[in-house]
Amino acid sequence: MRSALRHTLRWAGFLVLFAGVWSGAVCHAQTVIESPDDTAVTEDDVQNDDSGKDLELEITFEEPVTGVVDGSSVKNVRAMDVPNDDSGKGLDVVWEYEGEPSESVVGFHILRRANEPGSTLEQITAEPLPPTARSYRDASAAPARRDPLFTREKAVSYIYAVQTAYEAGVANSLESAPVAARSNWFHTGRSWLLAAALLFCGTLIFLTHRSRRGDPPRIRRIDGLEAVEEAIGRSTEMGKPILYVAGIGSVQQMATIASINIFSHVIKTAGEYATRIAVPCYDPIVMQVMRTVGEQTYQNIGRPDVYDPDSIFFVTESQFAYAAAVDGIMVREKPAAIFLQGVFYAESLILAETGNSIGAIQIAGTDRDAQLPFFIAACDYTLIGEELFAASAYLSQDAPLLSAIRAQDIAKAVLMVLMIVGVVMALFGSPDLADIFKVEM
Amino acid sequence: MRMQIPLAVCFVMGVVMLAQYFVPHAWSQELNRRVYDWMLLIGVFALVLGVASLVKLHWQRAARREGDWKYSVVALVALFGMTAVGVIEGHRQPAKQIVKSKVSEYSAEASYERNGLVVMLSAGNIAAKSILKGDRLRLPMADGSFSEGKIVEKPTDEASTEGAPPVVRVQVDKWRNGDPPAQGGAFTIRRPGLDIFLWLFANVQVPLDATMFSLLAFFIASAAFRAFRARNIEASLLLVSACVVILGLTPPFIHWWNSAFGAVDWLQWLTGFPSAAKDWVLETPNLAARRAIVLGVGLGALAQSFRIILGIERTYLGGSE
Repeated sequence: MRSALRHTLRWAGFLVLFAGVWSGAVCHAQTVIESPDDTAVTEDDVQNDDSGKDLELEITFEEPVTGVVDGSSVKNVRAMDVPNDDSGKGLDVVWEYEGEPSESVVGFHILRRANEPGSTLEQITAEPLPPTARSYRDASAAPARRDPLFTREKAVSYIYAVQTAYEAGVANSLESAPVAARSNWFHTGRSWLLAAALLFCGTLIFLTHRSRRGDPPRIRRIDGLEAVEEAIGRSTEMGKPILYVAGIGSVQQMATIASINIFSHVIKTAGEYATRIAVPCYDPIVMQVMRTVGEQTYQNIGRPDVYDPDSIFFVTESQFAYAAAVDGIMVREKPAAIFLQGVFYAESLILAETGNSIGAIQIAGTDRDAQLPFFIAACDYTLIGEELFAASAYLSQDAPLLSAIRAQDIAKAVLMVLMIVGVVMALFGSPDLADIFKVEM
Repeated sequence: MRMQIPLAVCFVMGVVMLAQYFVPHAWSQELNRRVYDWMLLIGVFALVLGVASLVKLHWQRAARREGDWKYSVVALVALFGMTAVGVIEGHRQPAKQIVKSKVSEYSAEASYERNGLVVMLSAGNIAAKSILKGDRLRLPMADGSFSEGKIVEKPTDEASTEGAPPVVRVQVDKWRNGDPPAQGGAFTIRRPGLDIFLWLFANVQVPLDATMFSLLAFFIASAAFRAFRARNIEASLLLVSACVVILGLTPPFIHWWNSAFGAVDWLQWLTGFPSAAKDWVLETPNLAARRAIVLGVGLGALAQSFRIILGIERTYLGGSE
């Protein structure tokens, strides 16, 4: 079973690495195609390319119907699907204007007709577009939403023309090729992100596999996590409870999940020492998850009889009411150790200062950079940013988990190198590296 | 099995939702919306469990007369009292846009046309369902006073021209301060009677929240006092930076500085220095450190996501056994 799992992991790692490299290659290909100098893409190029639809889309763009009709200086009118959408943004119309500067152009109107026999061009712009305009987004070409599924109806194929309005009259351009709005299956603006994620995932799988073969990574000492045992021991010796606050984040937030992971270690140690723990929760889902973790942990350490589910309880979903309740628990029960781990906002200092005032040993951690100074000022130990996410691995000293931290460090090193390269390129006037690796969020 | 099924669900959903981010197709958006709906549903059921836990805890504490049990009674009374008021007054609540006795939220872009006792109300967020029979319609008079009428029929949505705000037709019994102008801009819809739920919210919850929030000012002072002690080089740097930022954000100091140095010819180049120094501290060393933390957080979150999706991290399930 273990061997099969190892093989699966190994192959998954290689596949993901390959996919990451391939995805990067697609990004590169796309960058080349999208550059203005590479407009001469032929159909053969598309047929021989495996990157598919993106390039087909480009072919549609590059079939202009050029020429000037009735004195119109507008040429090369092209209509194209708005990329990277669910067809809800409609169609883009672009054109070139090659008239003399002396021509007195008032503006442009967009004309449109359905790609059906007998249809006639109709003006869709109420006011003329300014003479400097060279593109227009026709949102009305988006197919209607289909209830109750909220998908889209079949899109209508449209043909466009641009009408130039002169002071003396109007002139229509030739029509564009027909095009319909379409739902896209891949967001090309996020290609680099996918490539980076896959490479990172591949590295993580590879290092995890390697760590299972007996090469566990070592990570630096984190004082805040070394103090966890000390804090719980102090509570035990003093006969006072431990207070664990998982913040006011929802279970979808990574810092909350990291907090639940740390909680698993804290409640395990507390259970072994039979020390009472109080966990006031802000989110009922988080409460339920923490109860499950607590119950499972007590079973794992063989002391299910000691577990009290009521020690993990819901308080309120109101931010300051929650802060008041937790402050009240601190003042009344005077816990010897307080863990503030998770997502915190304005209540962070209110909680940390109250904890400080009762003399408890406080270990805080959050991914909110704006709250970190408060915790650093008021708590004994603070897990800064990524240390919060590394806590689970650090506390368990589990080799596969530690290898994830090594993957993280490798990614950080790569980013640092890219930053240095970017700075050097910017200093020498080269293209901005951020533009090359651009990601649309 | 108890561990493997959640891990499998986690893996499948993790991969699907990760892929969803890269697929803008309508079906993908629909999947995202549905998952979000499921999350809301789970949240509602979890809230029931949460409230049950809260009630159980405080009920036991009050019943056993444990220490500070009176606070538990207050918590239970507040919980059940607010719930009761909400349930009883619930049928009156959908009219959240309606502002009592003051200028309505409709005012900014609202207009009306009156024909006797029938009034066509037009506003960006108006809807017939948010107005109840018995509400009071208040229209402004030319002299600045108001004329009010009681809505006697159920309001109805009327057809409006494309792009124009929606229109609602209401009929009142009579105008109590004379006939208002036939058309105008602002109008108010008032709901008679005391809205206990909103009153409790505005006069109990909001002030209590504000009280807790205001404590922050004092806590910042006490925390700053401890943090800014110049015990070593790092703490001294922190102290100097803090002084620079605090002074750079203090208008009287900036005014004094600029006046003092502006008056001396050869020191005029120092005017504006406190603000510039504050900006430099915030935008250069501070921003650099924050970005480093944010970068680490991003990578940490990504690593944790993959650890969970791939089943390497199992701590959230209560351990790896």
